[in-house]
Amino acid sequence: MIEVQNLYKTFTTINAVNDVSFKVEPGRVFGLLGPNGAGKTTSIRMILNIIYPDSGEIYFDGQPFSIDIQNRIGYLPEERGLYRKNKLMHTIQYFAGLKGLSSRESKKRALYWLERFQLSEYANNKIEELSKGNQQKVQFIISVLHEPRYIILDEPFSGLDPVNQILLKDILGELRKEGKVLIFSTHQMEQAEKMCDDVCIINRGRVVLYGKLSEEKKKFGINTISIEYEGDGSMLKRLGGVKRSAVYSNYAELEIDSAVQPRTIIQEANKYLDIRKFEVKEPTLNAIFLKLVGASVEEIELKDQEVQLTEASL
Amino acid sequence: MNKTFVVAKWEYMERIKSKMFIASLFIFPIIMIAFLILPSLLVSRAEDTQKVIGLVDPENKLSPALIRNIEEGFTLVDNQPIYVIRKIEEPAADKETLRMIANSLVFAEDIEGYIYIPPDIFETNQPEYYSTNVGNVKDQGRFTGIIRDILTEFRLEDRGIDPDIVNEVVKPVHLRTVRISPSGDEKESDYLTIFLTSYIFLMAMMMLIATSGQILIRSVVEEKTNRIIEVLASSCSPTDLMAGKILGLSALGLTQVGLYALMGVAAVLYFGFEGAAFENVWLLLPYFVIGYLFYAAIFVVVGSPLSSEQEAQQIAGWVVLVLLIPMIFAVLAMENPDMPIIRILSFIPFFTPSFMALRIPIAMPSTFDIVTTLGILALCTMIMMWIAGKIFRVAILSYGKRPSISEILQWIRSS
Repeated sequence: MIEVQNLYKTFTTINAVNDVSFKVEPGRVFGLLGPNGAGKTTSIRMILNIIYPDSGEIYFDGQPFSIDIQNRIGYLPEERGLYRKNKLMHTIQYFAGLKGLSSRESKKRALYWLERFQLSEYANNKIEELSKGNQQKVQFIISVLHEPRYIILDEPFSGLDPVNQILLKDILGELRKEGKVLIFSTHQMEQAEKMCDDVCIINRGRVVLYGKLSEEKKKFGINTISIEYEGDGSMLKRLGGVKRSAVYSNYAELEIDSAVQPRTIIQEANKYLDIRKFEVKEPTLNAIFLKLVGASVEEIELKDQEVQLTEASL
Repeated sequence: MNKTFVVAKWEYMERIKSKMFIASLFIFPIIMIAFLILPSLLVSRAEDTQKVIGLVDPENKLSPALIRNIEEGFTLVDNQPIYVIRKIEEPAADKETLRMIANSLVFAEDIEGYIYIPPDIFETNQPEYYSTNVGNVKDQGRFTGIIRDILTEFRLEDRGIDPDIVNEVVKPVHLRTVRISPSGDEKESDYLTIFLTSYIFLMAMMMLIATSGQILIRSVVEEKTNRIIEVLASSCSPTDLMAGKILGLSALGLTQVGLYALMGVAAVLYFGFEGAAFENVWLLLPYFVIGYLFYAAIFVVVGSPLSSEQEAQQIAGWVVLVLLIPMIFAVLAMENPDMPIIRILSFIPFFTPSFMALRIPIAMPSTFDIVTTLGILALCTMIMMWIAGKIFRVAILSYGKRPSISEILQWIRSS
């Protein structure tokens, strides 16, 4: 278990991480979620002891950070890269060596993983000769080769083709079954929803939601409706009893007042739209986030980009 | 410590096997030797073409001796004269007209150039040489010598002295230089040997520092741009990483210099050079090692905040320039190694290693100088390493814009 208690970190003027606490239980997938720049990476770097918190504690199965703990952490950073000129096998063995693995042991395990990711034929190639997707797989191998107990994966699926996404999902399932302590960080709520047992959503350095995913969903009640339709969906936003809405070109998610019956919504919508599918369902993670923060992840990111752009133009 | 070794082994093994390294290992000495030897080799090659040189001598006083001495003095491989002198004459022409004719012959490429003997040569002592190319120092030197000898002979005869007597009386003196040492050794040695010995050590040190320093900067910057640094930082402490890199790359540099030293020793044994000032060379070793560490720390300080290879190249170039400064003083140190400015500069850690590399082979500095310079250098190296560690820790995770000096000072204070 990883326990994070009251973590604070300030960079010159920005409160990057502001009183963040959570526990990561073994044998479960823990989702550390939030838009880019929310403080996920900073939190992860503090867990990894790459940067030090201003205050707060981090424990690994009750122990503070040590070299021994360091050797039992596997980390896949969001920003990927490898040595270009070096051979695949050498690179893997170097990182395994840094985690304390002997060269013979690391070679044996590397061969197993390369086989599993269908990379065996490239073992003696230079890394620059590999495709981008294959390089990503190599990095994943590096993060798990030393059989770490604590595994931190930052956006592990980005850049993988669908086939390899499924393979990675299967492997994560195995790691979960083996009782590893798994932190899975992403800003894609749909993905997190499929993968995670527990979630912790961070926004602007603060925890805005934390708990078991299923329970958190229940708390938000069964008051979300999803509609698939043909026509101009913008009228859905203006329906009576709709508190929040996310309207796409032929799909919409509506959060309705608990006093309003879903059927009145379908009756109204049916007047203007060709409805293909209508579902009353648990709120999605995205909808929960929307409710908590008042904007969707995408909107926050867009806003942040604008701020950055205006700052840059100044 | 263990992880330091893993990093060091990686940096060393991966680079020593790279084709670039192996190639540079051989290319560098070849280039050096080419630069040293080729120019003189090219100039001193056997002359194989005959040149026609014009002679304008209106008074006709020097001509007979001049033509004879130049044509007979220098011969080609096949015993033909190198220079054929063509006297430029025209009845009743004054000296200006003769020169005009000579000029047109030069432009027509009938003659290479021409020697002009002014009528007042005995007063001015100034013959003239005209050509489209006045860059051939060798030809001009030969002509000057011959004209000088002829003038001398004429003057001696004027005074009624037999030139043969003068030749017998005037003889050059050769100063034999012997280098003595407290151990009682006496070795014949000369300026050139000492200069070369000093120079070789200076060059070796510069090369070690410059090449491995540049590799150091580039390797940090590469890891930053590829973001590998993040995985590395999660696997070992920044201190391990920095120490490992310095250790691995200095081993690499020492391998390179060691190989060159072997080549050098082999050359000395083979060609049997005598009198090289090798006896105090062991003293250079601590300067080499500590000096290298000092510069490695500096390379880390200036290199780790950078985010692009181009910037890294530029900065590395500047640091190497600092290393070049002692070259300016090399000749001065040769004349007087205990000169105040040389002494003062050798106490400044940036220059200590290279100035001591200059001084030690020339003349053993005082024990005080050796102990103090080593002490200062070691102390500054420790301070520099400490600063480098602080900066490295923060710098490896900062990307993008190059940080300002005040930001860097903050890094040193904060962590």
